[in-house]
Amino acid sequence: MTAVNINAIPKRYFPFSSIDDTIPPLKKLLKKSNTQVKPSGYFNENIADSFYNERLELGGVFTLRTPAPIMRWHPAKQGTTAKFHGCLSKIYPELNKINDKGLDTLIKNMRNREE
Amino acid sequence: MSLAQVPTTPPPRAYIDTMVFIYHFMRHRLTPKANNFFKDIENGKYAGVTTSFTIAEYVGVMRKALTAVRNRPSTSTDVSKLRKEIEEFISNMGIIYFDADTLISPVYGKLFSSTENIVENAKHFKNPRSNKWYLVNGADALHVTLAVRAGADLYATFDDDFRGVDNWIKPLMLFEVY
Repeated sequence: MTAVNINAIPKRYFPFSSIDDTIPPLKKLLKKSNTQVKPSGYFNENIADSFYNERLELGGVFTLRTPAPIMRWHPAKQGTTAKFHGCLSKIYPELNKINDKGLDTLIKNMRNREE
Repeated sequence: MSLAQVPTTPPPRAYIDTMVFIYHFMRHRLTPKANNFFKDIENGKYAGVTTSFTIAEYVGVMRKALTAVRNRPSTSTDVSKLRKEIEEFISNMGIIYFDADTLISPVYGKLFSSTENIVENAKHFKNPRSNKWYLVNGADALHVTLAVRAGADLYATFDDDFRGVDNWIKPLMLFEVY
């Protein structure tokens, strides 16, 4: 049996449990009839069954879908790097007022909020 | 590049961090390094990869920069010009461009669980020169997830925060390479 070191597992403050409100509550179902209802779904104890796919055992061939780009790779147009080198400073000369530190701060704030 | 020189297989894919575009388009001490990296893409050493999310970040930074230097809000004309520059550059450079909305589709798995995993497990990095500690944050990790989904082999950046993400993608630290 595998020993689990509980201290190694990050403490979770959110239980990540969700309630599927599209399924009628079990109590309501039981009140209406005498039939026995066995709760089932993705979050029951037989979780492995939820992922069982008989096509795998029957030798079914699966293809993994990968995202397709809008523009595919092609060799670059020669001279593009030089053409666009410092292009914004030419279009907007006022941007030259921003020094290295100022630009670094703007870039840093793009993902952080450290002012 | 003539047809005979066109490689049969594309070179390693390098996901380009937003700041690399900004440094290349602006005047900064890192502009020559960004320039050399893009020259390598132009010469076929790497295949650049980017997404619409990177363009959004770039436009956001540049709008802020324009507003700061002019002391008045940027305009829709500014946005059009900024977009035109980067889109033309991406197109002419042969950079692989993904729609970020496609990459976040649940068809390819859960996006934020992967991002959370990166945030929780990325390694810390202490810069020996500055004695500062670096670690990816949520937005950085989201870029790493997008880069992995886009099939990138390398993450090209100037940001030390990304040094600890080598379990998912190899960081290409442009400070050191150029």
